[in-house]
Amino acid sequence: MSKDGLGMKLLSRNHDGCTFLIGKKARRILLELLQRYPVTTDSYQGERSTALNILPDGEEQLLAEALTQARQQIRLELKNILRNEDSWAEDPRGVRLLLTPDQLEIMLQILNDVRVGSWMRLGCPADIELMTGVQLSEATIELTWAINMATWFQVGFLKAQQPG
Amino acid sequence: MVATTKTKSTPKVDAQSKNQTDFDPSFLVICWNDPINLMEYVTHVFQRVFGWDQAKAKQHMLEVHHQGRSVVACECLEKAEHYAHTLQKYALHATLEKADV
Repeated sequence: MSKDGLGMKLLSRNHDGCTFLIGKKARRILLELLQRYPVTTDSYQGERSTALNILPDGEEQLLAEALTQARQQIRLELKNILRNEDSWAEDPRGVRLLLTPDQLEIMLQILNDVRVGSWMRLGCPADIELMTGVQLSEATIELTWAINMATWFQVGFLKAQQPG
Repeated sequence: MVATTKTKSTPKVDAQSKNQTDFDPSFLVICWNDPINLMEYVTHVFQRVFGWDQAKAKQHMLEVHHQGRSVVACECLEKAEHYAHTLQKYALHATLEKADV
């Protein structure tokens, strides 16, 4: 990995968590993605809650509130991760990011929110690989970039959790 | 998850019938396919939410992927709601359905 690398690799994994080496450019991209959270909207969550149409109306409202609270909690956890100097150790090749299992879980949820929310803003294209039907514009290019980069980090974090 | 699957319409349950069925293990939690969530992520979420090993979680993920949906739990209403809400928090598409008893 070059000094201003655009990559990420798993350095170590144990019960305390995972340590990743993240190139400087990759760190900028990761931070850019994390700062977007939340990307999914209340209306999106509302659509999802109406899918649970077996619930009485009052409970749909409770679900919406619970989802909002969950997002607030994740934002708080994210702030703690970003502020924790022990999590971000400078390295000549970039930064060593130490994530506990719980923090890794937070990261996965945030990156997934960025993917899903960006996809919703693109109009929910059915073919996520070809993005059929998406108009070409600065906005859609930017959203597609966010989906692809969030996917890249998400896959990296998921692989780090797998045994072997 | 590649193909899109439309949500099956389910009739609403009024408050009285809800009380009667609160503790019957007769509600299915169904996870639906969508084009956006990664297969690896869905497997991971199933492991987290249901405590399954990777093989079982992957089996249900593949069922969602290939058949459009998978029944991931059959519980009383309260627990079924909890599971469905939890899956929604992970941005998966989950619904409840009354089981045929």
